[in-house]
Amino acid sequence: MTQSVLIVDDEFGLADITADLLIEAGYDVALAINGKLGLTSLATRRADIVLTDLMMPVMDGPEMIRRMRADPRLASIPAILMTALPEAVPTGEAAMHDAVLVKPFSMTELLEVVHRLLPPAPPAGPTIEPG
Amino acid sequence: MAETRSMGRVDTGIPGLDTILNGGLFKGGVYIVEGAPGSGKTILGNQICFHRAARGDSTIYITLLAESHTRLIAHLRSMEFFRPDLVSTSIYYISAFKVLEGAGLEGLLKSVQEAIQARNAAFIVLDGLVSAEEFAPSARDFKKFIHELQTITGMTGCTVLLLSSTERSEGFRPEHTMVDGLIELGDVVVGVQSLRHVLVRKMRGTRQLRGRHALEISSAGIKIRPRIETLLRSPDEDDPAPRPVEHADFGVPGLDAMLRGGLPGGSNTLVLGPSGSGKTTLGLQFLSAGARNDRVGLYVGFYERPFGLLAKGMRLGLGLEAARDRGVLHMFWEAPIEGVLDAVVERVLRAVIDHRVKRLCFDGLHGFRHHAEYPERTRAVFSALSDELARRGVTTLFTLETSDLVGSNIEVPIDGVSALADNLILLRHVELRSQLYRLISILKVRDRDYDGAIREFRITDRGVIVADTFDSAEQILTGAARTVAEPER
Repeated sequence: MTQSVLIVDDEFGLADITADLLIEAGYDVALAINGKLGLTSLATRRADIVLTDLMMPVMDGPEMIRRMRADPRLASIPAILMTALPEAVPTGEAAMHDAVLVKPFSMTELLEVVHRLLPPAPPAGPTIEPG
Repeated sequence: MAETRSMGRVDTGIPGLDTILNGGLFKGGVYIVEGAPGSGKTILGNQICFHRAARGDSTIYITLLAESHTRLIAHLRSMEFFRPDLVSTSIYYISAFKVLEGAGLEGLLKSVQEAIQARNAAFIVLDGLVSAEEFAPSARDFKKFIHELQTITGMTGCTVLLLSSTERSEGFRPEHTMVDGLIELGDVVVGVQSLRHVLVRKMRGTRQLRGRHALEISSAGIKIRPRIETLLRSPDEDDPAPRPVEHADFGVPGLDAMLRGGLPGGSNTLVLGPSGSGKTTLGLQFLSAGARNDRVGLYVGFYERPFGLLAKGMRLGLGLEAARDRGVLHMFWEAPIEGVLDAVVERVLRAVIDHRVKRLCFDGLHGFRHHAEYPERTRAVFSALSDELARRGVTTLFTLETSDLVGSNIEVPIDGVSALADNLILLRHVELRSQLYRLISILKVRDRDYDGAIREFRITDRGVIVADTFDSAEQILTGAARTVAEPER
């Protein structure tokens, strides 16, 4: 089954390019432009991993991740914070993300962190029904 | 908008900008900052955000189709005002382009309003107004957007800066009539020099300092130098009469006698003469005489460096080094290359105030002109500077080189300057039997009697000597001069 990624970023450009790279790498990608819309997307569409920007209107990345962690259905989804300002990444108890991608990042860095948090699915093969 | 006026001012923290805005922006106002790419709009917007954030305001920097936040932050990191601790807490960077693309101006407006409310923002920058205009179905819709934005800011007290890269075309743009202020940033080439400037075209509710003011961008951010002549107020009728200031003598008995004791205190004197006629020497003599009586002197030069001047002073027995060591003589030198005139004047006035200067020798008004990006400003700046110095009781000697080396033809190279001077002293060379003589004469002393006779002027190892009588000058001018006893320098 194809693994799916949700990218949440208010900014034009980087989110679209990141999406293209991940589609090219075989992922199914959905986009949202703020944390609130990201949660709306997750309510209807499964995601195996979430990449979110930090500063966004309406709801920022850390707040979206906090709400995911509070929701048993979403709590276990790995979340990556993307930011140009690592100093602004929450620390301590407020840090609920699994990884940080510092913008600008390379394709290698992107795939490395995604693969680490979401090991590629084993190739689909015949399932053996227990006898 | 009257109620927003009473809500007070918002200082921008940009050196010089609040001065030309006569106190800053108005709280709740909407301002357009316009300029070509590279004119400094983004730095200006960010610098104000960081200043406001440091003052405790919540600020938002909203981009439309502008620089990406990643690049923006990468560039801002090199600026001294950048404080990462304020970003994401007090300065929030968001992009509204996708909202604009998806939901048009209405969506953008809603997004701005929500952002102001959610973050309780007091100051926002909307970078990329041109994109908003492009999404407006008609000019009327764009005006409506500006109007509604003003309604939001009026209700929330949030001040808005709209950054626009629109090239200013002749005539006005409709949004210009609506906003509270219009600030133009420009970069023009004058000769071979590229000059940045700021021009406040419109500022509701206050009197801005009109015209172009120099704008500098460095790692410290933007600094604006208000044109010094607009900053220094002209003396008006209400000014108290200048208090009488003692005479400023030269310590040269012959010359002081011609001046009936010395130059009137607090006056300005233009010393005219060709190259080598002794203008600098006369200036140093003037400062030396003041220093002997603990009157603090300042020498501002464009050509001769302090080291050379001190050596010259030593040959003439003026005791300049000792005076400098005692703190009664200060010297500074500005290379006569392109620069900002206002920066030179600011430096002079700062030194005058800091050192309580009583005598100033401004050596080379012609060098000063090299610093004038627009030479026609020289006269206005000279006038403003002279007034300010007079107000501070400083007696000033300005030297100005004339072109004729030998002869009586005087051509003042800067229009109108001689009329502005209180006093005029003329130095010249006269050639006689293969020998050059120096002559001095006083052409004008404002409101005072003086001896207008031409005298011989000599530079000796005991300083300047001016003949007690006009006999020697008369002999020189009539061709009956004796052979000079002392070698000329």
